[in-house]
Amino acid sequence: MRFLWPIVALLALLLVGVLPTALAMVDALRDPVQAWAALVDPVLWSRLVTTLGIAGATLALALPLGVMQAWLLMRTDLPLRRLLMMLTPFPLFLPPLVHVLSWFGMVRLGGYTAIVLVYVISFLPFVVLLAARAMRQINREQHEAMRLAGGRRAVVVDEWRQAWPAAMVGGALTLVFVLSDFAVADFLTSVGPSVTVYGDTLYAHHLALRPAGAAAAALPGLVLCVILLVWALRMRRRLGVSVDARFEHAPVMRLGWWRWPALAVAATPVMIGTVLPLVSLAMQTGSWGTLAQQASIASERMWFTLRIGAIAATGMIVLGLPLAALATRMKRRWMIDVLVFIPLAIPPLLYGIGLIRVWNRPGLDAVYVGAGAVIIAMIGRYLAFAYLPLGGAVERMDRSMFESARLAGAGVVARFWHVLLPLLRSPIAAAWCVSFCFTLRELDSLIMLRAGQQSLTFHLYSSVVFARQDEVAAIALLLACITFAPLLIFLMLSNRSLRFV
Amino acid sequence: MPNAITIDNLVAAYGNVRAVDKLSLHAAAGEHVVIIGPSGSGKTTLLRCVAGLHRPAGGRIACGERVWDDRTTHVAPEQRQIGMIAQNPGLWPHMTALQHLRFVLRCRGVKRSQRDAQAREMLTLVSMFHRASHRPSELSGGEAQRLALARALIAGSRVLLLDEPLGQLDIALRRELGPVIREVAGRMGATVLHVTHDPADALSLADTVVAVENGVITQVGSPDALRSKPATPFVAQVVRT
Repeated sequence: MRFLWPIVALLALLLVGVLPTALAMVDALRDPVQAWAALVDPVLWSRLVTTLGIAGATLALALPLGVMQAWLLMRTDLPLRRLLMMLTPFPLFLPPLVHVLSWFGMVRLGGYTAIVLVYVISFLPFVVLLAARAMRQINREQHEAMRLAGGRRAVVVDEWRQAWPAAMVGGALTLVFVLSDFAVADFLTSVGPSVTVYGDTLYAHHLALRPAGAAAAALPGLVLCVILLVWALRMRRRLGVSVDARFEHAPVMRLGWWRWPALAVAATPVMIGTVLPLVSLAMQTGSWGTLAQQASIASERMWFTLRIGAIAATGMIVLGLPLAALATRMKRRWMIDVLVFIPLAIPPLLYGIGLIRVWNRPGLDAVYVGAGAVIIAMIGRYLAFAYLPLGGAVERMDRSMFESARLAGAGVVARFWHVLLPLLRSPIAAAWCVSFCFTLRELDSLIMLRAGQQSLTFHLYSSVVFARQDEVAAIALLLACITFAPLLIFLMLSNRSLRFV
Repeated sequence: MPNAITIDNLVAAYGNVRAVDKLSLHAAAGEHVVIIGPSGSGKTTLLRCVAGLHRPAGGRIACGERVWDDRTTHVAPEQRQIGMIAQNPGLWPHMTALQHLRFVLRCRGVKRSQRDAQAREMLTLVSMFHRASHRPSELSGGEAQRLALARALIAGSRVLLLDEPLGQLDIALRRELGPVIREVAGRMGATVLHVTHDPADALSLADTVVAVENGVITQVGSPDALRSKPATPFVAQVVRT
């Protein structure tokens, strides 16, 4: 009984994450000639290099900006820093396509500059959140020792130095997302100079009905992403020093008069990533009438998206919690980490193909054609973002509370309901909220699934080609609103910031 | 004797390191056995083995006629009906003092109608009635240990394992709570295995003192016997203090 749920969860993980990936990659073996041709195609490598260049430029901007932002929010007496910290993750939950649509309405940027800027805005929160996490662990003694040794300057340099590895972990996650995205490049190409990225190659193979080619073309990206994620996870664990009961936070630095200009600096990324997109989309929409009309047209898709998002987020918790509990008991927990992260590492298009391979079978039509495959896709893709915070929460729990419950006579079920769940209520609510919001941004893998085309994100993607600009803006605004609403409700009710990486 | 503890040739290890090495011990029913020893001598591991929280690598543990651990048997901790208080009492932060005791009674299958009265009675016994609706974060160190004691005893535990339960308290509280534990455990007729670093605790509370060094027992006897004829320099140092 003790291992029943973890084992069931592990089997579910294999079915949801590992099997689709494996079956999609097996396609390359079915037609080795086609696969080899795709793999040695210079276009593939040039696009990969281009995408890595875009990612490099994104990181060159996001890393210093993110560390500085984290430092201002965590280590100084900046006004409104709690509010800004709460709003920091918001841009991450909007699909990059919504960011580019909102920015295109304000500034007619195009080409590679635009794509880099959109990625910086979208993924900066990864860097900020992880760097902030590292800075939260700086204790008073360490701070005071550094102050005595070298004064304020030494303190600042030391704090930045400590945040840097964590920021690099955020950079690795950014790179993984940049490698898999193609919607932004598609949009920019449709409105300006052509921008082609690595994801386009995979899509082209898929459209040309070359599954072996798609699998082979995905291989370099997959290898790169797995290496990055394994490194990031190991690094994250090494940085995750546990905070004991005697831990005292280091005092924040007083900025004096400088805190007002610093507030302007720190608020800018939050405004650019969260408030301005909404304002821009509202302005592009133009009138309530357009918004109401699009809401009415898209109402079914909206409810479908919300419904499957809620089910998928619940599934992620049901799956993530026992996996997290299992991982904390394992010596080689990195094995579970890798299994959870594989669907995130694989290009989403290929993951979608893998899901088709698994579920498009006689007798499984109900799952494949219906919402089942979409829910599975969302669980597989974003399970990592439920598993990580739940794992951290389970790890931080005091073992002695469970031991005393066992000695009191509590069985597995009683321990789960009366000790584990009440103590994890807040992390579970946060993980659910984060997972739910991530499901709303998913596009790439859903394109491959029939029912996925009923989602609001897909509706937005297809409207870019077929609808007027105000209509597209209205749909994007609706998507942004239904994404931000649950986050705001959670943050207001819980009065805490989201920590999920 | 239903709650006499018998340990035969117990071996407990962490990887290749043996924390307890062929240790044998008998605690008669209702006896208060104090285990002393330097840090790392295997005292806590011994208690965790008795509690069922650490599975022994060899040997046998029995309570009365019932075997808890041997080569083929391992009774789960929740089925041993024992109470344990450690330095970190492991209280549940989301429950009040009363809810702690109600939860234990519920786990032990006590009828809902009887739980409240029994819980309040136990809180009174450990002088915690006035703190019934407080959570652990609102209790002082001494109160938290009293609650842990009440929790350990309320299920009618006939065996009580104490792993330096007073270690984090100041001397005044230790002197106050030590006799409380002894009195309450005595009233319940519980057999007590009590690990401590404090020589005063060892000599004042014990019926029998067991000295453990490097995972093996070096001396067993009454406090007077240890005082008059210490077998090792460590025991001599303890009785001199």
